[in-house]
Amino acid sequence: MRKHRLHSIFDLWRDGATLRRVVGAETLIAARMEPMLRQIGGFGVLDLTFARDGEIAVVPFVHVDGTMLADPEGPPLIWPESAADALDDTILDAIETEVTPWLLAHFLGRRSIEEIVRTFGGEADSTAFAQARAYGFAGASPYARVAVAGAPYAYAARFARDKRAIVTDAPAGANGVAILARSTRTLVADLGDAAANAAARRWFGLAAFGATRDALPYDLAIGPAGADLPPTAWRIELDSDAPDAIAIAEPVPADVLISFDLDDSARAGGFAIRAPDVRLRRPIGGVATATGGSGGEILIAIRDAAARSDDPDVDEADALAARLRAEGFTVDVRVAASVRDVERYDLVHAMTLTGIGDLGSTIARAFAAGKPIVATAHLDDLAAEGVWGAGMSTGIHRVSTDTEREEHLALFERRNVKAPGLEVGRQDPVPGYSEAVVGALKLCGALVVSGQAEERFVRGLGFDGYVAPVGPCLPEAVGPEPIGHLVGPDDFVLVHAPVEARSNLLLLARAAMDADLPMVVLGPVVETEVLAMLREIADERIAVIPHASPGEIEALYRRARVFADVGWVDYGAARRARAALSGAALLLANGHYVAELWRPGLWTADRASGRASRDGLLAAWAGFDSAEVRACAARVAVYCDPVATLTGVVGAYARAQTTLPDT
Amino acid sequence: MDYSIVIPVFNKAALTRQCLETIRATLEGAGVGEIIVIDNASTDETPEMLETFPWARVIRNEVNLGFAGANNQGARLASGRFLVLLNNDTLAKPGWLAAMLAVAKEPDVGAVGAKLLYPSGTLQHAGVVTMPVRFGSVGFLAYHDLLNVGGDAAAAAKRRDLRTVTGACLVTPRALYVELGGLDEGYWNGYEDIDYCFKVVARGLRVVYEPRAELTHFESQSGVQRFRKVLYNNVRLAKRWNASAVFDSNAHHLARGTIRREVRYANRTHNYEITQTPKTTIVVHGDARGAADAVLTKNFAPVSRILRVGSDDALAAVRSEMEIRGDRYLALVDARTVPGPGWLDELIRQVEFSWNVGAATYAPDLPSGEDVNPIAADARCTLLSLRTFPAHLRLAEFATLDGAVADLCMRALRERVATRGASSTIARLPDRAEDARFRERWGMPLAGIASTDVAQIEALIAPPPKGDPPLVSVLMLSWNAPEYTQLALESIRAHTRPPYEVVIVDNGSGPETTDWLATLTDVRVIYNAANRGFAGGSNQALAAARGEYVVLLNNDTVVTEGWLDGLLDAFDRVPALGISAVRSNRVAGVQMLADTKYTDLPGMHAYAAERRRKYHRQGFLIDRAIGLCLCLPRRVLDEVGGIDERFAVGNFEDDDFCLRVRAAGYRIYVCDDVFIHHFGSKTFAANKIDYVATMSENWKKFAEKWNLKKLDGVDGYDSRPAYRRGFDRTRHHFALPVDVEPMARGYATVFAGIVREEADWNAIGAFARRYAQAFVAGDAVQLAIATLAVPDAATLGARLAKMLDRLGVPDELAPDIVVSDEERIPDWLASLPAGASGVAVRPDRALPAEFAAPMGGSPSALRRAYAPGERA
Repeated sequence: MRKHRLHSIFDLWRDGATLRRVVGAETLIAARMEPMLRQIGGFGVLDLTFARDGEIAVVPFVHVDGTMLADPEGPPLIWPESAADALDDTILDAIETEVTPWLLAHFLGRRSIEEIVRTFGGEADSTAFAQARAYGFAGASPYARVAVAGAPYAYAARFARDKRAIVTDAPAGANGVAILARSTRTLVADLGDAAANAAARRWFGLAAFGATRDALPYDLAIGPAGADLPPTAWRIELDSDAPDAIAIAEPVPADVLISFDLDDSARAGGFAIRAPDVRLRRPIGGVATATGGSGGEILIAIRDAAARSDDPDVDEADALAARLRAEGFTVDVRVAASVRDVERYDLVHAMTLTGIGDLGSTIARAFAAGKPIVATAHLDDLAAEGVWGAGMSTGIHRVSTDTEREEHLALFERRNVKAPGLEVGRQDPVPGYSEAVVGALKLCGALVVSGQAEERFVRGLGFDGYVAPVGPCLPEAVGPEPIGHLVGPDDFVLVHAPVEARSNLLLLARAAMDADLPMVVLGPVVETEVLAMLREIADERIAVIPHASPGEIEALYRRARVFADVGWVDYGAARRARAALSGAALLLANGHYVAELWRPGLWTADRASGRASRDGLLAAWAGFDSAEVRACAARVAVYCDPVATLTGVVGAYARAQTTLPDT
Repeated sequence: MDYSIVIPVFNKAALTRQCLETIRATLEGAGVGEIIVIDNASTDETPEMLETFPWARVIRNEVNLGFAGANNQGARLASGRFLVLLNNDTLAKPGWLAAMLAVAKEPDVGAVGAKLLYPSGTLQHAGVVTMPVRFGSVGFLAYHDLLNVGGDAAAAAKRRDLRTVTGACLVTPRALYVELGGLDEGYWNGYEDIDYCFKVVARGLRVVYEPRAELTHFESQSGVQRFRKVLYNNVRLAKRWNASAVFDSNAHHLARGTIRREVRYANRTHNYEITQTPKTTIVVHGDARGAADAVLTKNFAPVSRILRVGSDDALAAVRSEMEIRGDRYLALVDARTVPGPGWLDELIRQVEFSWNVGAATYAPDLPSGEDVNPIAADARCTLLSLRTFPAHLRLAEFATLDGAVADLCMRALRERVATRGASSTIARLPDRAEDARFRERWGMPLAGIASTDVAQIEALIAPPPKGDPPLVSVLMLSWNAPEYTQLALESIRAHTRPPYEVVIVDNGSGPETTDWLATLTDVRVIYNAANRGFAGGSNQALAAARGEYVVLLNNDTVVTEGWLDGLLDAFDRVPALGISAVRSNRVAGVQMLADTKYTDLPGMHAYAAERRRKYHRQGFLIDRAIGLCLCLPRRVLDEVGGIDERFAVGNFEDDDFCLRVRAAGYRIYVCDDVFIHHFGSKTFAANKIDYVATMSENWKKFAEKWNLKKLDGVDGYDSRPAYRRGFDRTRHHFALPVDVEPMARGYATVFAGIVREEADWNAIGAFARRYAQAFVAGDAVQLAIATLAVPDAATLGARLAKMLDRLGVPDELAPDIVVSDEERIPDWLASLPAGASGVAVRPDRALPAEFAAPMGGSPSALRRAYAPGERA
């Protein structure tokens, strides 16, 4: 049996006993096939509705593998995990036999680019389905409609864990209520009239619809403006177009279903949030003080890709530039490709040699112009796994069939994946590493590295110049801004990394869900495909925040219980240090240099192992606020001492000046 | 003013500077114009940089309006007669605008695009074309034609009309731009240019690609946000234009002598390949004069020959043309049809719509548009892609060629081969003739095939009710090493559901083996005095097999629970399946499983059971399965014949067999859920055969036979060119021996009847009733019925089963009755051993002359006359 666990946020009928009671080929009353933009096999997804003895169950998001319809190398239907695990294979086979000729006829008869619906049961069953469709209930309605109506609730899930919630909404809001029902302690919902409540009770099998309000206080209220709702700490006002309302992006199934990011598509609606702010920790660490009196023009050049977003390199370059300016230097931070006038600077500082790109030519031009060059190396891919791991983690998601995926992930952990489409080499940590990086190193007068391990690594690459092992410059302190509306009252795991393959987010999101921990991914979207994949595997426990202000970012650091970074490349130690100094427990990839420098009091995991990441998250979650974690933070504070850092960097500048080769 | 160039910019100051620094020198001959730069709220040094170009009109926006918004803003400010949309990441070459304006000034032109080159000199844009998407929320995709081809390619040097060009450099009359509402600002940095061009075409104007206008384009410098909305843009475009989109990608390919074809790839995916346009044979049929050759060939597609036949000969001629399938087209044109220019190109465009389309047809009664799949085609103006029809799908006997072709297409639907409709580029079609036989068989008039009702297709492809499991013949060769044969046989007995028979051909083993074989009571054994090789022995076994399916099984294997069910199940699911095969621990290539860690037989069976559960009904299509265990239906065996005996002893005989199966239009499927254990090379080892030498010798023979070459750097060869040439029965069929174990072995009398239409069944069915009352199983008589019409064999089989049931004949006493869909009876009867005689149940021209006597008499009279004793 083929099964998947994608888009599980819409899997609202997970009760195995109910499924076993109701679902069968003979109880199928309706099938709704909806084409999707991108999913396994490319044909679409099916929602199958079953009814028996007055009970209804829906098996939603059954993938239809269109290629398998025409050339059935395997079954054309791929079942959601909840149904596949609850139901006997023979039942699923029989259902497949029932619907396949209908689907196949469409496949042979026309392009399947529009929703098709077919009812199988008697008149009463058809009426129930039609009514559910009219109400906009999931399973009977297009996903775009379901997603827009359910979006405020998917967002509200971050406020609802084990809380008491009350809802007043139109019937389509029932979908969101069903999402909330997974995590709330008590839930009362009114869809406006008794008939809608009764229909929703039957459709979703939830008693919450039309339930009597009790006198106890509620924590969360959801409804339109002016709705009769009791006072609550958290409140969501539906259909709001207030300036600070959260926008709901127009769904583009299935890549974009529930999204609050208008970079995805046009605005389809919005809702406002009133939430109490959360308590923040106070970070530790030294405060930078400037001596002043220095002079000279310095160019900090960053690789092109970094300019696309708020990249860690940019953060670190900006932080360093601010410190240098305070000392009296004139500093420009520029993307390598835009540097045409390297001659006018006294020194060029290349920020990160990983993914070197156009930085290489800037370094070469600076060298040709006789300028001293310093680089912050960020080269820690000792095992040469960076490109391999990043490519493989997304590649497995992309090319594996549902049956193979778990198998491939297990082989991934053993570094032994061999399958068509998964031929990612392990020899070269970054494209052109051997030539471009080693070539650039030869032109550098001095390097800034994170510690002795990285120094050994760059020496191994042939660098024989001066090396300054120092901690990163941290950004200047920013006042925190409210984030209660972003993350809710509960603890969470923070990942601050660009949404791209190198950040290893797919594996980490799976691990967080396996550990049942809420996770906030804070980072700009660099690779749209990775975002789409992340959305496929994530449910409401994973929140992606692509845009946040510096104050919000500061608050997120000071609120996060665990900071996780098991990425395939070294984004620099600045964010890890910031998280540690803000009091979060760290989960780092076991290849990161600073993991060794800062131990104990932090946790590490193999980047290729979902199981290790899950265990690491749980351990870090449990170890939060322990004496070991506090001691680790103290070590990090010493490592990032602002004076030592600046002295180390400026010392590297001086050595680069004095070791200029004859040109 | 002649023109207004509008350049939207967002950051990338260096690129904008480069664009502006060079552009003025390239405008010679373009007339008088202006340059408007819309700064979309750049955050870099763009504002300062723009100040250094005082001759450009610069508009600074506080917010980024996007590509469409900025161009519309520029258009509102522009005063030139023509609007020139230009990206800031371009570097123009002299004369580009003059060339574009020259075309734009033609009265029927609405938009002009340029040749855009990457800095490397390869093509970035030479026009945009659309291709269909068969499923998903987007109906079509647009892509850059000739992308990454060398900039000096001949195809890119021709001016041509398209439906859309890129907005990176586009010239359009400003008045038209305003009239059409400019670029749709609902798109975000993508597809708004395609949308605009579609509007131009919908307005009745031309969109032209002008190759003399050449610019370098540093594409995709706009940052990641541009790509975030690709999907949204895609859906927006599709929603608006799905109904009227024309998929023109193959139209452009045909003009270059190629087609872009959807093909199945490994790993259950499909992809595209660009290949030379296959050649077409045109059959003009009918008694009218017919269109002239010059008219028929007025296409880009190559025509290999034009055959003109009269009505009476049409069916036979087309049958003959279809004998060799392969990658070629057969066009059927009624002599009264008047084709328009490009008629064949249009049919090819439709037949290449996707990998499972087999026919494309013109019909005036079809709806217009791109999404038209009728039930079937007739022969008035139809193209058949012969590679998509498996060999057993032949034209049946109908009153008209129209009826025969429609019948073929409808039967092909069950093999998941679809028909596409076309409704343009044809001048006139004759009225469709009626065919009574077709109506009788399918319950609809011929006109009914133009229906595009999906429900009708669903009814046609509904699987027939499952009958009793078919008899399967498991065939093994034995050459010494009897302990392995014994193990294999024990596993077959333990894990195979009846009905099945086992046939072992002993290839000259020593007495230890033959003595043991002689003790077997449930196995038919054929003894050879000398080793006839794998091929020779297998052919003897195949000839002796009585099953509806045969399995060629190595004797050093151990089969597992459900193995045969798994192999047979594939034939119920996979259309046009020729061979199903297994996974194993020891087998070359992708069939091998490397994770077999069992150490004993119970462990092996547990492993197989786990695979059966986990990979239930899963597997994959390949071009070549190893001969370790091959299951094939009788009909495929009839088509391709036995194993080619030129491959002595072993190696490459299975490659050759598979290649013939593929060439005959059948597929090969490996069942992931069937695992059998293979000891491996026991025959070679036991008999001290030089494996390497055999391999080398047989490769030479194989390569010579199929004109194959080993692939560079890998251990393999590409069989696709060979099987795409098709199966030529005269060269590729290998006849089974008839001197040993003929199919009708042991029968003294064979009663034969052929059902050509329902009326025949009345007589044959009545005889079958008397036959069933007259004889019992084991009598040396057999009733063989072939049906060439409706009802099909499955239906007849079901009727017979019911009849036997009503007559109270228990299964074990049922007389031998064989029902077949194929016209195999004459060949089969010809293989009767001396002494057997045949009797026609109902006279038929396909039966040999000695089968002349029509049957009569009561059951007891039949028994008296024809039951001389038990079967031999």
